Amino acid sequence: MADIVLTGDTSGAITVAAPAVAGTNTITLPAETGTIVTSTSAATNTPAFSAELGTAQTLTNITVTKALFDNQLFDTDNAFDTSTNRFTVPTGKAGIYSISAHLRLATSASNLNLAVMYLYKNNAIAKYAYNNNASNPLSANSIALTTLLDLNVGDYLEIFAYMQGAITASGLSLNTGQHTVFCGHRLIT
Amino acid sequence: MTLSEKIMTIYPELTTEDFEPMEGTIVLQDNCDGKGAYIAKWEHPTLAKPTDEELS
Repeated sequence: MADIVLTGDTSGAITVAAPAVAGTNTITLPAETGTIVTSTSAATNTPAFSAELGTAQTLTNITVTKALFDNQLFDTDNAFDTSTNRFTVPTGKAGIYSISAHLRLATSASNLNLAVMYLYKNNAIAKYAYNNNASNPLSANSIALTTLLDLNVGDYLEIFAYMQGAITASGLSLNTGQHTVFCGHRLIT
Repeated sequence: MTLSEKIMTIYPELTTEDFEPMEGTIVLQDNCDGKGAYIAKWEHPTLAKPTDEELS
């Protein structure tokens, strides 16, 4: 028997066929009710987005400031707005999301005491990461954050940065390109 | 002059530690929306929040 054909009651048919190669293989169906996923119906990890800081951004000392990710690398569902630097969950795309961000904060002198990155959800802090170097101030600092968030349609995410230098600290900035990235995707459910 | 510099001019006794987002009592925020930085939180135990007039 080459193929097994299951004909529908009114129309359509499903054909189960063996590959045209030598050897014996076995498919075991699970003892459950459900739909078998095939290559054409497989779920994808979307929406997915990634954006970088295209232009160095000046920061003000001891002020929580939104990071401006103006260089969009990809955005499968047009959910990241570079005018607001905000990712918004599109209609029908609620779920668990993996969100990551990386910042490189720099000063013109070795006076960076504290560097903090905030992940805001709907204009409130959802997660944060920081490096405290008050005992040995640095000229630059990198911070990374990865988390899983259960997001509803319309929820929006933003990244904020905070630098604390000496009172007179100046020349504070976020570095561009691969140093400063905001990305994420929905997990297959 | 930045908002933090204006506040520290009004209250010279403040330090940068007072502005730490996790442990401080004052948070300044800039949403980069063209409106500039603003006082997002003022919970200092003894110093009153500066008025708009004082900050102008």
